[in-house]
Amino acid sequence: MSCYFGVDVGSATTSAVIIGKDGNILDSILFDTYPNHDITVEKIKGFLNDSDYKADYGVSTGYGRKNISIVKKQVSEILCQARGIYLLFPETRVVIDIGGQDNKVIRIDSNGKVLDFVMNDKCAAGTGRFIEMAGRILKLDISNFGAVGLSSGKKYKLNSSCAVFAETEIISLISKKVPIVDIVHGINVSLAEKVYSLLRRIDHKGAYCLCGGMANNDDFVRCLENLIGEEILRPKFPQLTGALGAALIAKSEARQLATVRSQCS
Amino acid sequence: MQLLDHNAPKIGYFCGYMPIELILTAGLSPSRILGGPVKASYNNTYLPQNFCSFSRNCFSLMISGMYDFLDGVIFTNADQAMERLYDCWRKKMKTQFVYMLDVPKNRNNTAINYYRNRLEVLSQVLCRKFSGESPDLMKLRQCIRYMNEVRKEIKALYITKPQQLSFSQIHNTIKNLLEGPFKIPILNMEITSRINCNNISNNDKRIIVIGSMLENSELLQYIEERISVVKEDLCTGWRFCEIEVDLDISDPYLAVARAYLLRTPCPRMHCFSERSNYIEALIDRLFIDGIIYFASQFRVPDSYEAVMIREEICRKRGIKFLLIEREHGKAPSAAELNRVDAFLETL
Repeated sequence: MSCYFGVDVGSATTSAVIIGKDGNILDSILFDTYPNHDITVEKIKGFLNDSDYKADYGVSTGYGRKNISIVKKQVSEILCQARGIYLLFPETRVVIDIGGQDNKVIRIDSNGKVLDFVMNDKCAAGTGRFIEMAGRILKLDISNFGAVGLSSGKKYKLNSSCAVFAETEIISLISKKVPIVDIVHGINVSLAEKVYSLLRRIDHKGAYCLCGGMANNDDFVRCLENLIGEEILRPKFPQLTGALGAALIAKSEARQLATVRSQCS
Repeated sequence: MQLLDHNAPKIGYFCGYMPIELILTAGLSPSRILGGPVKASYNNTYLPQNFCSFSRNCFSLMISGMYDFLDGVIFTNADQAMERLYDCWRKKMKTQFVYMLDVPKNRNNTAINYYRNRLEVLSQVLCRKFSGESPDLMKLRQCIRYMNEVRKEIKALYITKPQQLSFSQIHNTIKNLLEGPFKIPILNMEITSRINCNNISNNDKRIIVIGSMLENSELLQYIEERISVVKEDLCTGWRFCEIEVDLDISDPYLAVARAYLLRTPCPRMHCFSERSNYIEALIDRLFIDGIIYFASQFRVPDSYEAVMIREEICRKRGIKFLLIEREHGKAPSAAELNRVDAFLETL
């Protein structure tokens, strides 16, 4: 059976996906990116070796993509996210990817082709790192930010989405004995507004799809939906879509290569 | 012809509208200030964070003593940031000659005549300050002829660009020439032989690269290794060699003023329609798929022009556009390279 793999080495997490001929996910792995990329590579190699599905043609993406020597090609996460999301939700026209160190908004056409993209890659404002920082101060696991934020009854928001100023603001709110649920909701609102400001920089018409770890934060998604005024699509495994896109590119590259070889032989 | 003494005083300048010919006429060695890597940043004490990144970078280098070798500095009123840098330089540095050249922002006859007069005054001030004499018009003509030759030779490199020669290599050559020490003569063959071949992409997509000054060619090289760059239009590249001073004009100051002011306007000039006509003509002639625009972060003329090109030209014509707002003096970041990769993939 022909299998292909995709690896997404992000600043916060690394994921790898093995897909079959039809594009179905056969196997996957998700773990925190190691500070040493060699360890990350070893872990991916281990995953590929241990998997029941043997994939020999792969593509890497993400900020650490150039360190992955076991792949045939490296592609930016813009293209990979677009491919992955388009496979899952072909009606998507705007992909919102909230990564560990940047946010991206990608506009795609009815064929899944990337038309345009905008990125916030200058600072940690509104990124996954921002939530991580807030979680550290609040002693709260980031996987609980959605449920905790949803239980807040107040319309509260942080004044700043800058990671440095927001940290000061959170500490001052804690000292004022503002309930943690309200602070968490405020953080989610502030993040949603930051992402929305990025969305406004692009012509956004059509269905929205959110990927990256923040897609698991229900409160954040609700805040963003309120701002957009539309429902946002969410994949079941939002942190795997980049790797899925990479695997899909690997599949089409491998097929092209096979066609060329058969023509030459 | 001996234009320069080995120990000629060194004059720094910031802008492509500052005629090198005048500095050479005064027997001085021109050195364009393009910024560069800084060890420690002193910016925030003096200049706000959202201030032109080029000016902030130059300021840091100035305070750290990188420009102590200069005997004089000539500023131009490119934007407000440059005027503030001029204030800082006068206040903080002991450079014996600090001058602000007022360059008009339009290109009509009044502006040309005004600029001509400003150039004559500058020439007199420079000569009197450093040699105690009046400007020698014969020498000015010699310097004009010489600079015309230098630019012509580099222009020939662009026009007859051999396959293995990249824009980043030509750009690097111009940058080294501008930053000095000023070497004479520079021959076409010499330039070509000093340039080593590097990878140029065979990608069939075509782009042009536009922008102001680049203090290093790394990013340009990165792009050229991935896609076919069919035209480079940078202040420290093609726009430098575009100038040709008409030696038939009897008044050399007027000839210089005309040549510098009437060339393709750069973002500092208030003539977007002429600039956009020029860019549209490039698009028509070169059949390009995309434009990459380099701008120094928070540099007002660049930021305005980038938005105008994106909205008025690229969006209407369906041409892809990428704005790279760089922090001046820093090596390309992973995020910038990622953005370039993603843009090239979308073409």
